[in-house]
Amino acid sequence: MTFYDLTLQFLAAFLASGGFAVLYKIPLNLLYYASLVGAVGWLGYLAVVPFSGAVFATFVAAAVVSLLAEELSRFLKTPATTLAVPGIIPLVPGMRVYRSMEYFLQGDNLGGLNEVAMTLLIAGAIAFGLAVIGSMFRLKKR
Amino acid sequence: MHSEVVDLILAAGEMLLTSGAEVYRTEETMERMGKALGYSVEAYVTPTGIFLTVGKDQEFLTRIRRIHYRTEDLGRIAGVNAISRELAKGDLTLQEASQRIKDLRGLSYTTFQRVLAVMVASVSFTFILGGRQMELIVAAIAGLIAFSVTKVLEHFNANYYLSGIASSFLVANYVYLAQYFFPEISTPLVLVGGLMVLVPGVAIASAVRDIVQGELLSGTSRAAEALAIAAALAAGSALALGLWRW
Repeated sequence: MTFYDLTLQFLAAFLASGGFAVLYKIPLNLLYYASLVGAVGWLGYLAVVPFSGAVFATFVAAAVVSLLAEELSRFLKTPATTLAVPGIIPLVPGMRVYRSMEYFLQGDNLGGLNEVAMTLLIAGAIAFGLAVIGSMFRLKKR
Repeated sequence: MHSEVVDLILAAGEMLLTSGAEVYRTEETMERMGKALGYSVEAYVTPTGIFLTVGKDQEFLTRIRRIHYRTEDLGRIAGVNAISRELAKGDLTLQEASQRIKDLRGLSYTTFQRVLAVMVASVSFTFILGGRQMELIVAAIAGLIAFSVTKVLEHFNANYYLSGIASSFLVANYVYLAQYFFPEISTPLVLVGGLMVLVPGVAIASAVRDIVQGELLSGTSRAAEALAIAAALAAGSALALGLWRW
């Protein structure tokens, strides 16, 4: 992937997270940070995915999103959720849900189940990435 | 005095929960607010209801608030969080806090801004998936349709399942119609980009955080809600796909 492509991907992830942040009515002063968190997380995904496949890359990206959200949330005095929710949007496996639906519709149950399994694994990776970092930060607090 | 405190804490909890906040955050915030005012608080929160007992000097007051709807509003979550912090620091009185919570109900973004955001989000998501040129333009309108159908159905009090099926069915029909005129576009990219705006992102993230916090009941029920919405979106587009292939 060239530098030009990466810049475009970064921008697209920035705008996607920002668009969702507005849809979820984020306070205006947090909009820029939420978009940035999503864009950096997506770069993390792109950096890891050629070496490890989608599931692990999604985990890394979700962890990056969570880490940034937790750190920024202290500095901005807001719950980390407000930054993490728009940040994970680029990682959501919408395409796989579609493909599994298409397979099932064609009667290819095996292909459909395969995509469902991948969807669940990726969703689990997002959850795991958020959970690991989130609980570590709650340890630190006490 | 007692009942005013209960009202304030209940209003704060209701606002957090209906805005999509985690159950553990809702309980924590309610307890923190009660303590700041010198009351003992027991709060039991589920995604569909709040049970609250507030006490002082062996006098207790219990209220139950049933929650029937949930939206996604990060602004209110951040707002209530700030109010409870200020209350704990002693910067706010009871009356001021109640007023601030009422003020949070005002809309933070205009409909035009939100529609614009939906279109930007759909286009960017389609781009990330690999869509280019014409696909991006079609995706912008797909997101617009998805958003407006949901908003219209909200006025008729449609439940989330029906509104998911209806909007994904209409978006899918639009996308296949668009492909009829522009055969070179890839329908999956546009469809997924357009329907992404209906994905309950806040519910998914809250479910995860609740499960990790040990709120297993609330976490699993929120996760089930998210799965049901995803299934509704898939069912609606499958219906349209079946019709167009037939």
